[in-house]
Amino acid sequence: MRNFIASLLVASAVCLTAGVASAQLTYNSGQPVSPAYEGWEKNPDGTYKMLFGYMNANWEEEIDIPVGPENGFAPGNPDRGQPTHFYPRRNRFIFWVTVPADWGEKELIWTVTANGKTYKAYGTLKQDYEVDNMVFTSETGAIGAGVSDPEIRRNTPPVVEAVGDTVRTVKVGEPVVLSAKITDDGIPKVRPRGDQDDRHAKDWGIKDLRELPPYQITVGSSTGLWGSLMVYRAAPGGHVTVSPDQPKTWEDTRAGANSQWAPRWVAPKPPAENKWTATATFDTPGDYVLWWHGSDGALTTDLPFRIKVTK
Amino acid sequence: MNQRLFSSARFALIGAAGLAAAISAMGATVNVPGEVTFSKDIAPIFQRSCQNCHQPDGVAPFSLVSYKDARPWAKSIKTRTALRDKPGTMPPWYVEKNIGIQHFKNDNSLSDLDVAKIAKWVDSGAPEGNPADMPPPIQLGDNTRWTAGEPDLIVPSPEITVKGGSPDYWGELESAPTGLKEDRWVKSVEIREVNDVPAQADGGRKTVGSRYVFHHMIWTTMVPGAGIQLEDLGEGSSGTWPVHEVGRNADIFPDDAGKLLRANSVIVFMSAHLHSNGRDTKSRLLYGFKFFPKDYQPEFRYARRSLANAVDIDIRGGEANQRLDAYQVLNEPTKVTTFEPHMHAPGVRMCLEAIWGFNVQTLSCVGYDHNWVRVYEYDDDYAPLLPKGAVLHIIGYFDQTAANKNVPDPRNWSGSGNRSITNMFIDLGQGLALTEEQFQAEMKRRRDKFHWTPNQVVIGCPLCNGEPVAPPENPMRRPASTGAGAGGNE
Repeated sequence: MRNFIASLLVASAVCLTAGVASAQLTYNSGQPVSPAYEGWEKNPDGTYKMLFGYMNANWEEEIDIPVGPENGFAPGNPDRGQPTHFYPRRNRFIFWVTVPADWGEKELIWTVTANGKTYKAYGTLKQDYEVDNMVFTSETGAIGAGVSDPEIRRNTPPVVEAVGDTVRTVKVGEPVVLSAKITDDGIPKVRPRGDQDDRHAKDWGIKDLRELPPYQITVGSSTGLWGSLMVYRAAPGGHVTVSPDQPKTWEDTRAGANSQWAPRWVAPKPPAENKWTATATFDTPGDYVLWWHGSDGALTTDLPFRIKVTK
Repeated sequence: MNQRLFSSARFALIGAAGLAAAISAMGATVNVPGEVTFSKDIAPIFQRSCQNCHQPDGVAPFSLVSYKDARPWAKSIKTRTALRDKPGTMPPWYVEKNIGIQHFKNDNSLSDLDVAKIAKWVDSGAPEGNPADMPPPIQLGDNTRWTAGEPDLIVPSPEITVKGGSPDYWGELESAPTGLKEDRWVKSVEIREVNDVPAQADGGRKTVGSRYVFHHMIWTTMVPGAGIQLEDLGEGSSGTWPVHEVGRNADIFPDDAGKLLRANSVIVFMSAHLHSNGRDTKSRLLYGFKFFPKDYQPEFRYARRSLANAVDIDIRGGEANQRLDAYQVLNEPTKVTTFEPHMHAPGVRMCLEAIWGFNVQTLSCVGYDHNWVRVYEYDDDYAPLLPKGAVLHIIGYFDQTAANKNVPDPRNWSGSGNRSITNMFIDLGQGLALTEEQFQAEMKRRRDKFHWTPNQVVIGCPLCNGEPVAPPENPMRRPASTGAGAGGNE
């Protein structure tokens, strides 16, 4: 009888929990990473490139996952140039994988296991997933709900050129200076992500615009050129300290955050001769990949630096 | 309705369990006595709710005018109508009938009795019955029929072509002059996509959008050179024009809150979101305006609705029933005139709540299908009437599984974005900003009309069932009870 009652209780619990939707809470850590298939674009030579990104459900935890069963592609080579260092939250349109012209209806699957949960992204050439610069511009938030114009449709991505070698060898604890020249066509113009209510703030007696709750009907971002030195791959157990603090390359939408997706963020003034410089210091030997990331708020370009860190 | 009903195999038939649940939720308690025949029982239902689209040469894939037309589709009709508020239902109206306000201006849904009759008719072999029982035929328009009535003014957008294999696109179109010679207050606006997709065929792609290529149009009006736009949110504001969305129905504005269309104005097509339907398609929008009489003046101004949370969305692949929430504190007494869920392919349901202290009322829950975006217009007597300080809350439900046929690959994660396959989460509904005097007057009007007492708690109007309670002259003492019929012992 006791077993019967226990079974009933378990069954009731299952019935009660099944179908109950939970709200999305803002976890600091402990949550999984969902790899994201972003879309595909056809190359001039007839091959295709598939675009991937990810969503780390944590707001604070940065996760390192080496290439292998917990961070790998299939079929074929598990290493397709994916990141092993996962920043918090949404990291959109991160890397391309080229597939042959005769790819057809095959799938390219990226598996990521983080904090005990495994998720996969399925790359296909389904029509709904076709992307181009307009899609990047829109999805990044540079044109709000989709108000484009001929100027922004002419926009080209920033140009990121290495200053110095892109392959370095340094010792643990020894800062290495990494620089890149980042230039752009000036499109789109520097524009902070504002709010429609700003113009009414005076009427409402608000003296600090931050007191207006941020409101965004869809993806939205500031625009204007900026650069950031970001960690793309880290040695197992390794931590990289980048100085000075860099603009976040991930979508930190919180008020005051140093991110183009944060309310009222303004792109920094470009340095002299557009030479962006930061130092990186490593605490563990091994191989690292850092990117100089250039963004005009709509389109991006990345330049990898490969760093071998010795004892 | 100028939208195709019963279109294609786009929507998977729900599983047996789901279907059984849908029927039991609404039909099991409805008893339909006697024989049900097409001529006597079913034809009147079709005339009322289906034939606008399902007519010869209509936009629907088949006609439901005659018994001969309808008989081959009987089983499909039973299945679709039994879905009720779920994606894929016909007609496309998704209000859940067991929760919230049930009074809308533009409700073309079937009653529980209608659905039960259709089910019994099909289950009994779909008999024709006596042709003499047929109701007189209704006057059918062609496939350009306007559901809000024949417009006083029709303004076409420029024609565009969307290639069959092209990514999503967002951009402006050339403005179109209204030709209006004097200011007029608009009673309704209906925007319809007219394209060259054959009426009896799919667009070609079996995912979101169906035959349509305009997935949204953000638009405004202005007088060239004068810079007058509708979005002036100052005194006497008309608010914003409603966004056109894929498969959307008409907007009928409240009698006391028209929207101003200026003389010599043009329609500014600010943002067209175009999504290929899988075939090269020529398309344009037709704007149909109906006007109030020339001496009309509105009583109310529109309030700003900012009820959305379209950033940071995290919809995991292969999971149903994923939830998002968004809130808005009302800064002034507000009459919520419409509820308009806007999501994208993964969205399947949205609820609207009013939170007033510890009282929480669900105002509406509706299914969602991104082939048929609906605006739900509350009847004037039942439109939510909320005090300053109340909180509007929307709850969105997302289904990223194979059960949701709008999603091109349900195994994949999906986040925020403007693409039809990524996510928005917005209530694009509108409302009116009331003064305290207008708020009290409207509550009194309803209270007098319906003779509400404290024994009747009114959904959507938490303060409608009692008289005003004056603040105490001496704040240190409790106020005396002034509520009529409040009773109780002190």
